[in-house]
Amino acid sequence: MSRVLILRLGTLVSLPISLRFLLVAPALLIFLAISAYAALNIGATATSLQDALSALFLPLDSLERPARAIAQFRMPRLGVAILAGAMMAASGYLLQVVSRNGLADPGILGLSDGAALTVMAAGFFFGLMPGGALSLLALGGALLTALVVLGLGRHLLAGGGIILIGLSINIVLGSLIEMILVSGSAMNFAQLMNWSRGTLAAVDATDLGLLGLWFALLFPLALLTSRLLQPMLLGDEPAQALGVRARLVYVFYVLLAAAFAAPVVAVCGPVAFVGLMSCYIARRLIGDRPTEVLITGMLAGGLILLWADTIGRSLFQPVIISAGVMVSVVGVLSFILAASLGRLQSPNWRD
Amino acid sequence: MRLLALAAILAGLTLSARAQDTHTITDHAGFAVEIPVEPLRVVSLHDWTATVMTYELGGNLVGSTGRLNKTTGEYFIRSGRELYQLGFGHGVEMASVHGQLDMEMIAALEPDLIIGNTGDTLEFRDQLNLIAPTMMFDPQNGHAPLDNYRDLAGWVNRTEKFDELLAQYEARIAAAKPIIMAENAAPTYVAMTPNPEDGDIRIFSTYGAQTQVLEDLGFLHGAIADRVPDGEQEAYFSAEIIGELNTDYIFSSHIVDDGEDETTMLKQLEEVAPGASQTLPSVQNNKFISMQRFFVYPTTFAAMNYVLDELEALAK
Repeated sequence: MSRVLILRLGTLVSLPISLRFLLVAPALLIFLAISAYAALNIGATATSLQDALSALFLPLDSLERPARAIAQFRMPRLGVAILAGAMMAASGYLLQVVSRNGLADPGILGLSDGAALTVMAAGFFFGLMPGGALSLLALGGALLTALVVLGLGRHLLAGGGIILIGLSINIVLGSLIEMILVSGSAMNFAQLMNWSRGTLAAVDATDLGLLGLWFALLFPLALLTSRLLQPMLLGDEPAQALGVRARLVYVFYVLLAAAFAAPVVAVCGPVAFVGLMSCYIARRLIGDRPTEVLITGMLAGGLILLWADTIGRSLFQPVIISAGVMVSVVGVLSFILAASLGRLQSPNWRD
Repeated sequence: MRLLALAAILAGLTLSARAQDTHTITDHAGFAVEIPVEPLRVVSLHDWTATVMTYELGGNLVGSTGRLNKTTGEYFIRSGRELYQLGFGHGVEMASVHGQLDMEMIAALEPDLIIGNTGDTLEFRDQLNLIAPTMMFDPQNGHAPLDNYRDLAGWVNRTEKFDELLAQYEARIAAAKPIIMAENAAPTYVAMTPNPEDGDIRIFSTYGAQTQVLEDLGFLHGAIADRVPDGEQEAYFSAEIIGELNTDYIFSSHIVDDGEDETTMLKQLEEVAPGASQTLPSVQNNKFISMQRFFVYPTTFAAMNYVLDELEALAK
């Protein structure tokens, strides 16, 4: 067990915080800030510190081309990367807690395939559509799929049965996608294929606004209810013995996880691996205190996706490697680093 | 002397003001876009359609997407390289790798008009519009290929040039008809490529310059082409339809960069449908014809002239 400090505010608030979290979280936050600044200055256009500062503080109309490139393209991308990574991490962790399975991630709810199928079906029946419409459709499809998985798996909530339902739905959706793919010409679905690899290439300020809004709504909710995570980690019966209505909390957390992941899938395509990797890293770094893992995992998720996207768009220029592909590379490297810095995990996890 | 200088400056200013004149045109994705009447810096995001068309018409092309030649490690413009010896440098710079748009590279070219392709750049439209007015070109919108080309000519203010090239092409078709169609006034054909990876056959209802020229000459497409869904360019059929390829001609295409030629395509057809070489009349009569894909894929006048050259050579 790591050492714990108790933060007391009067007689009502008593907040235990592990010393490890107090060290790791600020360190990740500082590294995130440094990484964000570095990402702002990396790209096809040569930029300077002055350009980055101008882009941050001056109106768009007054900017020269390098600063404008930062403001118009790099800043929204950077913001989306951090938010999307953090939201995927939150989604992954919530699912890992309720299923008590460290291998769970947002992909098991069929969110990615649900979003992809909705977009492709709409494209198949109504033709191609602009990016904004694609995002909304994907969002609707992802949320609808999560509800279907939850509905079908409502009798199998305990023991990770919902994961089996999620995997089955994934397989069905994948088959339907294949059927649509073989029925159309390659060019019709080129737009979707790009998105389906997981990419931040098409994000803009509107996407950042969309993610920002969802984040602002969901993150406080996750924090406020995070005290329920610890009993859920113990299993249904112990949780109920502690006075937690486990079934209700289970449904709530699955929906919350879906709500975190759906807008990310809509904007960036499938980058679910962030959800898996970042929580592993967080647990390796700070242990098993759920609220702390949630926050640390979100910081790690933001970092992973930010670096995955930055390296992918700059390392082999002019070739761009999609963030979905780079997430695996950066995630695994981060995991190895965290594992060497961290400690053994709790036996509560089945991973 | 001063008066002359003043007149020259005024003339220059007038020209500059005219260059900034704009008009609103609806693109192939249905967006009404305000674009310069005479675009001076056009960036195309699709090489074998918008790039080669703009270049052929003498439009002010300054950038295009390119593709990596895995053998040489160099980037090239598909069909631009084959038909016009058009490469990067000398006024046309690389705007991005095909399918991997880099907004900063595009913005660095300072375009006043961007031409994208509905199929693979529509999702980037909002970002592209931050750089310059963006028109979406759709070569597979179900319209006649030359109508689409004429639309693009209007976007880059080269309609007159298009009409001039069209007139020359129509004259050449009229001249070539008696030579190519001497044997048969209305031969039938199918445009296809075998697909040995999946064991099926790709049938085309239209295939760029190749089918455009054939139809303009009076070739009649086989009934199988009518089974390609409306609005689609192609469809995949199982090898069971091999009997329906009993047309006078079969036209295919191959990629020289991949070491392919006409024999390769025949071998692939045989792989998909064993015995096809012995049963298909076109193969038996040496009328299975494969042309270089990137010469015949775009519907430009240079590509159509290439197809005519090939057909005339065969007829002789």
